[in-house]
Amino acid sequence: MNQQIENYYHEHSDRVYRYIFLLVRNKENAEDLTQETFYKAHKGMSSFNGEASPATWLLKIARNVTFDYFRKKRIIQFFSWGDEHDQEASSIAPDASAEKKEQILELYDAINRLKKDYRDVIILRKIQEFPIKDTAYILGWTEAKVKTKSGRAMEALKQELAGKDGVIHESF
Amino acid sequence: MALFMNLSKNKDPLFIELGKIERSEQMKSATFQKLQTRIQKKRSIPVMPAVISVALATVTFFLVFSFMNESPETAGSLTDAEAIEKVLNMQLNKPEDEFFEVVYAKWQRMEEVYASETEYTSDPMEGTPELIAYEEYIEKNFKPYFTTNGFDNFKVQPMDFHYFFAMDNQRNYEMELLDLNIEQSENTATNYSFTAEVEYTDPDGESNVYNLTGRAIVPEQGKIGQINFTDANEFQQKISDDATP
Repeated sequence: MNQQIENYYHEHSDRVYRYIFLLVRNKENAEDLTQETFYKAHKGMSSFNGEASPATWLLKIARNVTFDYFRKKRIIQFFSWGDEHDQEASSIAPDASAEKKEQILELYDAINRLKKDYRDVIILRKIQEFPIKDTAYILGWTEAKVKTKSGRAMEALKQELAGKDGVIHESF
Repeated sequence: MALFMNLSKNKDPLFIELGKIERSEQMKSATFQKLQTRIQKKRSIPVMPAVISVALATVTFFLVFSFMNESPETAGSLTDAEAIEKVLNMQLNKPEDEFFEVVYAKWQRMEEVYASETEYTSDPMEGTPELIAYEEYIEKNFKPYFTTNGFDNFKVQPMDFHYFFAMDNQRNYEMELLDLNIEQSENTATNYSFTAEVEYTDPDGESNVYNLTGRAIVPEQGKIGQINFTDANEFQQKISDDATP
């Protein structure tokens, strides 16, 4: 196996996996798509010209691989948070207290009710903490669009949460 | 339950926590092993024993010879609905980068070629590498799903059939086929009707969902003879307007 891909796998596969998991909400599928991402990276290694960092480049491939998967499966609407996903919920923030975890899952659920563009930008900017430039590269957007969408996405998320609780508590 | 968070902050701890997703070392290494096997398998093909290669070549030759009188695409034997779905998925999702490169190159060449006021006795675009690349792209991606006549007609359909064509000079939009229902006619087995729900996000980030209806005639199994849309919501007009500089 190409040494470079092996190094990339060891350095970045957890990040790639986490990103994909947030989109597909399933451990097995996230592992399969992580494998597919690195396989595609291996095949496209010669075209990687360093215009982005390896992590950013890999996340871009991961996003394309995941959305290809959704297209093939025709799973357009993301899953609603039901009993069948409780097992997967255990993967998220495993060390958090029960109360904190409930809040985290509520936030995750709200993010998944947003439209696709908003989900994309929140996952990359807020959860994965990518800078605007890298987010633009991964999503194929302009930096201005990332900024605009981020603002709108956060507004939509606030409304989504307010809709659920009736009020957003900005206590800290 | 009250959700305590400050969404105005850049780094809300809840977002950070949400990014902490457990991944077992066991699964991580299993995925690595699978990846390694897949890559090595791919590499091992050139060193296959000569006798197997010869056998494969013989079988391939036999199969190719057997199919010589048929269109090569029939080997795929898609159902009618699958062929319709393939075509609509290509037309109603944002195309891949290669598409934009090929189409934009052709348009640029057309601008150059038609800029002069020379009177032409034949089409000056004919034989240009850009036009050839474009035709090869369309043929590669669409021809397998059409009858010969169906494909010839499809190629020369007016631009409004190809929703994404209007956007060839910019990629800053999103288009996604959200839902598709295909139904076979009860009276005529070769006729199909479909409804498609498409989300279009314009370059300013505004999204709308458009509902399209259409009909397809599939005279041979998995080969479309004709396919049309009814654009009641002026979807095409919207994307054309957005593409206008």
